[in-house]
Amino acid sequence: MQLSAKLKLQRVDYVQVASLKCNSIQLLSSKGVKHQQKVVVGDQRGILQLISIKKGEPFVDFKVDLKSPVNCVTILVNSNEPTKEIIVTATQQTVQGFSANKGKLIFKMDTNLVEPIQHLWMASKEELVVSNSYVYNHYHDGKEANYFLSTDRINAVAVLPLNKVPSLTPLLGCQDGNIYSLRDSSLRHRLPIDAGIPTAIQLFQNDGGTSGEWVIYGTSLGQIGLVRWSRAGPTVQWVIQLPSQTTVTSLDFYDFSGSDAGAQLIVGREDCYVDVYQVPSEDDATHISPTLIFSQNCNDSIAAVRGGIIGTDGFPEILVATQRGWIFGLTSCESTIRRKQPDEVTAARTNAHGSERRKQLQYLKSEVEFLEKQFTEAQNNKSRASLPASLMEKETTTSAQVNVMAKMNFVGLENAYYITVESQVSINFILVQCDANVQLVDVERNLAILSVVDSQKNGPSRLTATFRCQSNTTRLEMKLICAERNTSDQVRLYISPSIQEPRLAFLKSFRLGCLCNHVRCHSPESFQWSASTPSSSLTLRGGFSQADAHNWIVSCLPNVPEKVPADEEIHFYFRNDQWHSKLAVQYRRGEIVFLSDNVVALSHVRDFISKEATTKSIQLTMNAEVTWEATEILLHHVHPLLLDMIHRRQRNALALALKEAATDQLALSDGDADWMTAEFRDIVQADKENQPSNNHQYTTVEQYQNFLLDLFASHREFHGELEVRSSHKFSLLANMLADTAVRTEAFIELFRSDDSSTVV
Amino acid sequence: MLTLVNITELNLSVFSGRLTICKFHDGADAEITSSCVGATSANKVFIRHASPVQQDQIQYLNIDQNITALCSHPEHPAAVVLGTTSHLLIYDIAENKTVMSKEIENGVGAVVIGSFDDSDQINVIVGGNCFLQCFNMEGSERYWNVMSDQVSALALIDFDGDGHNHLLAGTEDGNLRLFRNGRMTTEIKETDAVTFLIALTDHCFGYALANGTVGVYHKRNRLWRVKNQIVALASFDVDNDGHPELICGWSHGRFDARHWQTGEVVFKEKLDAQHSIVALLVDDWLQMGHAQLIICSQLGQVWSYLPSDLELTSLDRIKDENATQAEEEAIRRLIIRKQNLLAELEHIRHHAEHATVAETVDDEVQLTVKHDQENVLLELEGGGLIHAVIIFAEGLFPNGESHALHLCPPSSSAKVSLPVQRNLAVDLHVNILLESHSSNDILKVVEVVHPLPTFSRFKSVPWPSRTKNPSALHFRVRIRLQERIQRIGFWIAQNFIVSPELLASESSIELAFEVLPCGTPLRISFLNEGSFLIESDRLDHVSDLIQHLATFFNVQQLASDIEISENQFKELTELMEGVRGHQAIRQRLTVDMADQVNEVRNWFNESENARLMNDMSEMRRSYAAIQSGNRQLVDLQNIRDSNYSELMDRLKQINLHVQNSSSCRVGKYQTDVIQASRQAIRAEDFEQLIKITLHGVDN
Repeated sequence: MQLSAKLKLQRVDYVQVASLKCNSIQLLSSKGVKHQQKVVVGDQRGILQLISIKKGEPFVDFKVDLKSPVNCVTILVNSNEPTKEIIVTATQQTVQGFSANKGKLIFKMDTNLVEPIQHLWMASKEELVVSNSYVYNHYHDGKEANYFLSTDRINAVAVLPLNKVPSLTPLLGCQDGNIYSLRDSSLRHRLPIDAGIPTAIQLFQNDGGTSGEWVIYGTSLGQIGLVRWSRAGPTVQWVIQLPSQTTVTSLDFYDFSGSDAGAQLIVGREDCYVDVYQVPSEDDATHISPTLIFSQNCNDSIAAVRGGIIGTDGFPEILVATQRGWIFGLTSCESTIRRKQPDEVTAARTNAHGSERRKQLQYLKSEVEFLEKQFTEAQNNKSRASLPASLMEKETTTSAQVNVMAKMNFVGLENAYYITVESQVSINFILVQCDANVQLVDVERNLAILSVVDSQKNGPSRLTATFRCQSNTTRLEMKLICAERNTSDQVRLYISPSIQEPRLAFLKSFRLGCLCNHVRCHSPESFQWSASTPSSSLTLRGGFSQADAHNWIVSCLPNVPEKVPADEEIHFYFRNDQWHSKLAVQYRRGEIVFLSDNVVALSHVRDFISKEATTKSIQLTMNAEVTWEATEILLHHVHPLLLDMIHRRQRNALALALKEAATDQLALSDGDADWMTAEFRDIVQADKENQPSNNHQYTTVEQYQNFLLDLFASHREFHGELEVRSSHKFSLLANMLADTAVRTEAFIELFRSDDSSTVV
Repeated sequence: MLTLVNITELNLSVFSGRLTICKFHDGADAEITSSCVGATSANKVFIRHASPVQQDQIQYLNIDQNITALCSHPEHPAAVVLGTTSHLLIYDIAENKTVMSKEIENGVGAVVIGSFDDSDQINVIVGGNCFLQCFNMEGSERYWNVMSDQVSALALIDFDGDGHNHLLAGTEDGNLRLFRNGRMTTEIKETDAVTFLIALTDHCFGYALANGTVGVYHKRNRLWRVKNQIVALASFDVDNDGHPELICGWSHGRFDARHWQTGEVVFKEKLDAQHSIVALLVDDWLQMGHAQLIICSQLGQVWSYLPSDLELTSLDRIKDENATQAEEEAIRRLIIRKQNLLAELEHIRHHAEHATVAETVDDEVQLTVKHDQENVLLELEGGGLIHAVIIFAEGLFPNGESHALHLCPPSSSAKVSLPVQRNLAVDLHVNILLESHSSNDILKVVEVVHPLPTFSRFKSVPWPSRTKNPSALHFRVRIRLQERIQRIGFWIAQNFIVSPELLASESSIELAFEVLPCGTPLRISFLNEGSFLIESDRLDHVSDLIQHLATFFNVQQLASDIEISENQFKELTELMEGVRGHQAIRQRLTVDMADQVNEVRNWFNESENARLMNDMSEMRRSYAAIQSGNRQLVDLQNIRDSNYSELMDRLKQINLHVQNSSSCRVGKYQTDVIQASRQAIRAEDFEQLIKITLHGVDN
């Protein structure tokens, strides 16, 4: 990549602690310009520590055991005494402040939240904002001032700077894909995000810009946007899409160049990358877009990134914390750069550095040997007497923790679920199991041996597979492709880390609802059924409670909050990007209404809910209104795509033959391709251009064909026909689908024939 | 530690294993130029000249047969060795003449050329459809041998340290066989089709399998292996330490060098774009005085690398940098190791402190693991539930290295069926996930190692009753083995799962088996006089047994006599006679197709004439005729294809028969049978062939 040449950073490893969250690391301000900054880390085991790097080695200034996971760490700077910083932490429901030099407890405050605090903001001793998964709380002078209950999970919280925007304006990034701003205890503005769910919000240039109204957000689908959140409401300035649809976990600004261009944007991504973007200043924000100047794969999901001077005086650096608990730097202090300047001072430093490194190596070696001995002893005795607890206290800056993290994300582009497994210690094996008919695809960068058990011999479990990992594998990815169907299933992962005595396996399970390929989207404005294309609808009535209905919806569709919303009538909206279909659901006690142009989806939810209701012995009456128009629009959309795909497949095959013929011709004449018609030349050219990316598309032709057949079957079934799949017309359609010569109109004609009544 | 020295474009698609480098003396001034030589997808060989004079010039050779293997000649640098579906061809490109051409009826799957064993002469070995064949440069056959499956990789390696190279062959059923002087000395079983074999230093060789495993053997012991999903393999000394590293090329454009002894990655690089690597070569094709590592992508881009140390200008700098890098890498590894150890210690301590209650309960839980040959049975007593069972065993399972069973709902006993398909002594690592008392999301893992004997899939059944005459099995193999019955009993007890009562008799052992998974019957009877009779419906089971017996008792020479049922005899005769029929059809089809091609050509000329004459109706007629002619050609080709694959199948069956029957003998008797069978096959004397394979060669 030529772009990354603009910024050269080199990785330096520091320490490993227990697992980290996106707010569990902060930097203290430095004692002087370009001086080293100290690192504050609070990990999920409850250890808060202040680390400074001396000669490349971490040194613990103090360490406090807070007993319960540290979810947030922030630094409180007292404006009167800027040198006396206070480290503020959030553990469970408690906010505590520690002095930055000795780690002395300065204040402690118990909030009245029920769940642990997830987000923390503190501008001064008076103003405190905390939030947990659903509740936002503002304390003024230790008293609760404002309160807000969100319907969806709160993923990110930012507060506009009080010195520029005097009225307290908190921004909440919520799971429903909106960023909300609050005024006191009520909603004020709403910014719907079109790609994904907001997962990180950061003030522009870390201070909100000159007006303090500029914020930057990152989403779960790799989108980053700049918003001006003025008093009148939010306006988006620019939006960029990262190369992969991955979660943005952390955003920070830091000025690497020292020029006037302003600070650069550092992006931490869940797919292990740290990116740096050169962003335009506020004035240019509308017409200049950001450029990527650095990108590096760090082999671990990133939890947090912070720009600062950490390892060496004078060299800017990105401090990276991974979710597994590794803390390392990406430093501009590069050994080769120094060597290229043959002035004596740096040369001497290089040498010193070299010998330092050798010393460190020696030290580490002896340490590891010692630990190995300890370990074998402990294993033999298996009693706690042999374990010198004092050693751990004295020697170690930190230590890892046996813990496993797993995540499942839907990637719409590929219509697949990505599962990422990360472990603090290396993984021995993983067992993947699912009762649904899913396809498991190995990801190439994995270093594990995948064995899939033949599903026919293995009872109800449709997928049983194992990954046997090589030593030192701590991260593993896999891809699941799952069609929508009429059951809701669990994917189970049993992850066994390679530790002895006692050996464990962690169970992580995820739900694949029956409409798992839908994504939740925004609300009515963007989502209206026009009068000319009435959607099909399915109404279910019966003696069920709102909670029952909510549970069914949760099992069917992704990203619905587990908690039952407080409203009397609940609305959710979804879309399926593969078929470009939409689905709306509204329900209350005793009634659920689905509206969709996709009859297949309606048929799946009908099957699923009636089955669920039967097990609970709830009587349901169903009423379906299936319109031909909606289905026709869907057909007009999907069938050409199918044709296009088959066509492309044929062109690829033809390209091979043409290229061979071309080599024949080259052998005879001087290599011009004039003998080919323009069409053929295009085919060869197109083939040359997109050769590597074509492979994964091959499976989807069958998906499209199956979908169209499903559509036909569902459509007919809703019209009361029985055994559609064994009918003559069904097989006729199936044959027609494989034929590229069939035009969409002809297909639709056949699809529709004998189908005079539009509404039953 | 490698530096990129050159990038070129071939502008041609390259296929895995079908690219090499030839050198030409350029006219009188004797300057050597190198060219890339590779196969195209349609029966052609391209020569892409790299010399400045002939730059961008591509020369083609028409071969008219599907090219399956290609390599360069060590003594004639301008010659190329080609293997096709029916021929072996050594062709001098510079002189434009055929050095050697040989018909290989079975088709070539892999080819290697060089001097090996005790001879100094260059020989060429081809491997294909269950056979190996060795020719000298005059084209006369030196020897012939049978293999258990299609030969997919060949290499010449000094694996025993006697200073001579020997032949190493890998097959699609995952066998690695080492040959000395035409005789197999060692067989190693791997888990999937062997795709690459490459000689390294110090009697080591690297291998790659179709499932993506890469590893290194030292003599017959495996040093290491990793899963890598690689598509090309080479050996090249990256760090100039005198020992070549194993270079692995990945399909997504990455390549790395691994240390031959440890498998550690010492160097890795990703090519700048989405290029799929298909070939790795080592040659001094840029005339730089040191061989380059040449990496070629599917679309024909070629990268050449040299070890950095050779760039003298910056030698010190790079060395220093390497040392720094190595140190930093070492530090990182040590930190990881330290963290892992700390975590484990912490883990132990944590459990020592907190899990005392749970431990005491767990101690009462008794787990028994049994194996009834088809299933692994697990029984938990004293409470507790099994959630899942995972069995790891390399080389045992058809799809991968493990077999798993998930129990829903969890139960206290489990039955895991074992689809064993090979005769292999292996340890089953049975991992059982048990419900834990503390939490729903954390399960206990118990690992039990359960050994399986070599012939675990031979299921002991009661001997057929005497009153009912047991139906005769297809093959009855008789051998004489001068061993005491106790020793035979010992062999059986060690390698089979049988109850000891069956071995109690002093005078004879009679055992009946069903071989899983098909339940093929097999009977062994041994009388104290040393006469051994093995009956079975399948000869390969018998030959496996005899080979194992011979190794166990260290028998150097063993003759045997095979009796065959009438049915089977008929089948064999039919099989062999069928070959003649297929060959006849094939010839006729070839003639037909040639005729048809001529006809189409004539129609084409006529259509051109008609076009020039502006005779549209005539032209239309000709085009219609061309179309129907073309259709017929396609049909003929399809018939020819199916005929060819059927023929190949039959030849494979015959080779397998020779392989199995020769393996019922040991030592001289075995080689004699192979030699004699070869003679008979060549003479197409099938009666003789059957006689030889059944009764051996009379001396």
